[in-house]
Amino acid sequence: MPEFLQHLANAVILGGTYALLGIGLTLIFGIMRVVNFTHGELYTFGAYMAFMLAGMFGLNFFLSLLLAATLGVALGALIEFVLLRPLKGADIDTTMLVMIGAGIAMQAGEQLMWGGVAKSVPNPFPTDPVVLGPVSVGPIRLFVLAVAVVLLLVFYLLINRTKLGVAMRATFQDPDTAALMGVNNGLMYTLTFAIGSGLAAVAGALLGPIFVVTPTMGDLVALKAFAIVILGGLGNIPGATIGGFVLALVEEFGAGYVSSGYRDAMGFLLIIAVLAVRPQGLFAAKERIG
Amino acid sequence: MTARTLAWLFVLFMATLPLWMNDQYILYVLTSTGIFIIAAMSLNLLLGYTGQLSLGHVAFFGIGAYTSALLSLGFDLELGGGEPLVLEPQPVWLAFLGGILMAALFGWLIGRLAFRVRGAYFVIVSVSFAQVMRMVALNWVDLTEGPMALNNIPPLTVWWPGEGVLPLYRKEYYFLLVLAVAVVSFLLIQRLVRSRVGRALVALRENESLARSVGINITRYLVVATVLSAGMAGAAGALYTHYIRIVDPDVFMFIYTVTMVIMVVTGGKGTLAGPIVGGLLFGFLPEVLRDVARPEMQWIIYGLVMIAIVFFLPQGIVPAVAKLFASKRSSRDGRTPATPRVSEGASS
Amino acid sequence: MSAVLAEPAALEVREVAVHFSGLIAIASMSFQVPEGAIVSLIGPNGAGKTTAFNVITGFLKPTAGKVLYHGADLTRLSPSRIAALGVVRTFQRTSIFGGCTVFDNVLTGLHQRGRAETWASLLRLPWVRGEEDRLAQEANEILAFIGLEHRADEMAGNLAYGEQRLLGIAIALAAAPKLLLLDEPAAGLNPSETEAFMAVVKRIRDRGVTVLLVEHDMKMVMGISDLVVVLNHGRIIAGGPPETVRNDPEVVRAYLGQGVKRAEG
Repeated sequence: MPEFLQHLANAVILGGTYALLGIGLTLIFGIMRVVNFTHGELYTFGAYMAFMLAGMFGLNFFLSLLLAATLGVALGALIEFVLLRPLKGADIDTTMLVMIGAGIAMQAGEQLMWGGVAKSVPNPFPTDPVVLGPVSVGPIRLFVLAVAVVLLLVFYLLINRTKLGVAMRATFQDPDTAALMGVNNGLMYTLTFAIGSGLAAVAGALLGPIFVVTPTMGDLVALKAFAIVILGGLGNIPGATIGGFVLALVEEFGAGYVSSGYRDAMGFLLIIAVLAVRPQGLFAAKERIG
Repeated sequence: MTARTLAWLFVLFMATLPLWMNDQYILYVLTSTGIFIIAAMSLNLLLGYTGQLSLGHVAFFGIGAYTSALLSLGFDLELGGGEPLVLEPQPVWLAFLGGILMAALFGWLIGRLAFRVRGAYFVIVSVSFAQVMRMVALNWVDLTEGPMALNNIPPLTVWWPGEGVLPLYRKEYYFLLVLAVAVVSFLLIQRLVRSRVGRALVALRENESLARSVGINITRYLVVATVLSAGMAGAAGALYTHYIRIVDPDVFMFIYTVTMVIMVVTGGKGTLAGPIVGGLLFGFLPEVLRDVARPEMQWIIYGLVMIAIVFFLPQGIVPAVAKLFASKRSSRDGRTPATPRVSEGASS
Repeated sequence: MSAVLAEPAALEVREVAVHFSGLIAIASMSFQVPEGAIVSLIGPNGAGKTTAFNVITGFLKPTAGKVLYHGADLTRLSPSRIAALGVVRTFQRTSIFGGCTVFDNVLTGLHQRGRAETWASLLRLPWVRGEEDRLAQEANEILAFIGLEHRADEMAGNLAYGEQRLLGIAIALAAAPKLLLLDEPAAGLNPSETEAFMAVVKRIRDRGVTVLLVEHDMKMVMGISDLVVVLNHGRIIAGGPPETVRNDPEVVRAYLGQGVKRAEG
């Protein structure tokens, strides 16, 4: 039983950041119909920014996180403006290929800048775990969970309670009608991509201190983000949130009780299984595939 | 001088290469480029002609490589209690065939899945599939030796009149073998895309509902495309494994799929010559850039090249060049029923 | 109401209903298409005409009812199976294979007329060559019949709109239909193009193909139909020869009075 609870605790913590990743990607997917292969690289970027600011420049840890997130948003906006905007209307293969090209360049760039050796991000949290009954959790992980929850809440408020959120949802449902109602589609797309990328960067900045930072960390993470999006359904934000936690649970319990080597495979096997049975995702309303 | 004569001259030229090319290293580069071209051609069948966004292609390459290696080395597997499964080392060409068949089998599975899961979802599934394969190779140490790799894989053999069966150690001979397989693969694909089956595949890519309404069975042809494509990639993988004679889980890395995709897309997807042009370009580019730029820099360049091609030459190099020649050519051969007019289903 | 027939029915639509989670697209539709006739299915926008087509050709499964072709039940079959039985459709929005030449478009449409599969093609068995020649000849004939032979080598995506519509029909013809369903074939055509189209449809019927078309252009409908069936709010409200239907008060009311008379203008 205590082992079970520990896994559960780990899963909940991981699930929070997975949810952020998933929401960022599903937002981009849902509103822009772009298979975003740079998502993993934004995650890595966020982690490297945290490393650079806190580790190399010695800035305050929390400030570094904030800056890393902001830089992620900026980079996302840049990518959208330079690469995606000119491609408006092109078919899905084309945008996908451009995203892959950008992703490759980014990863190589990170490798060039910081080398392949794993870096760790210095942080002010004590290393002794906090013990809550049968469960022990590192303090930084609690912090990560707290931040993730806050961000999720902020994001929900943004989407559901603000004018911007309404505009975004309108663009998601029907870009043409939204345009007629005065919504600037171009701006929406840039914002969407920027916010989605920002969420990925934040996830990277949050998890960077917990794990280590390497140039290829984004690869697996990107695929997990895709898995989460599929679980929840393209463009389905609550679905992506739930999907994030589901994936974390499957990974934790799968790794704990079945085999730890296949930990990362759990997510993939999950998606293949889900899609084979329900091609539209677990939570999506019936939507046209492809 | 038709394109056809030109092509055969090129092949002939390549075939004589081992006679005068002394640089072993260049032979090595040519051989591995050749292997990648075969894999790229197979991807082109699926991506270019049938329009399926399969980004897990390296999985079939790797499956072909591992299967052929394991069959030729033999293995014994603990199956948890009871008798271990033991396989004696098989004749190497049988192993090669086994690699192709195993890859084709997985192709069949993916093909059946593709029908249910289309577009963006399929992209993700295909990428995930390759990653799962990598993890299996990494973790099922009992079978695959995991990261320690399978070593001492026997080379392919060839029967030569007068000398009997010879193992292919020498780079020159292996190069010729790869060239032969590449030519055969090309001819097979050419025959396929210029046939009724090829037209059905292109129809799938161009307009699926219309294809259905004229009686084309979507699932059937999706499966045909994936099985053939996977089998060919498996052959490339098997060639690779008996050449390098070591195989480890890195053979499943996403970066190799990306390489194949770059080759197909820049060369020209949906054209016969595309993967070859793209393959030669990206097979030799690393060598050309080797002294000028670090590996990381090279990948940045590849990424940028890919973006540039998509923006400026969206069809790829071959169609752009073809257009250039077509606008200069004046005559148009007459059409008679005896010579069916076929195009290669150039992509839109 | 259903049309009263003297000839045997080729197609019978029997009490077909289509419900989309609460929305009733088609309430109950029954009508017959006699062999060798040109029948038009008309009705105001949103009446359910394209839905009806989708049901008949297998792109949509109805919530209730049956579709019978010469007695064979089409209701549960897939589109490609239905096409194999000789029931072929065109699409409302232009549907062609844009990345192929006009000739290859028709050749692809001839898929059912060939039988070379993977092995035969890879090995290039001797009979395959003969089949390809035969198919090429048929493709040429169809192109000549439809009047596009001079555009055979053009990329289909580069054709003018009217030519693309013609190509869509050519592709459907290639599938050797015995019953051809045309979904708004005259949409977007100017009057002279529409005239040409009407002639093509008549020539198709003269070759022994039964035609069912959905159309808004009243001139075309009244000009070529043997029978007209009127759909409104998911139900058939009238059916019969064009003259009878035109004067039917229910029909006139459905079109808000002026529509029918004015359209024929």
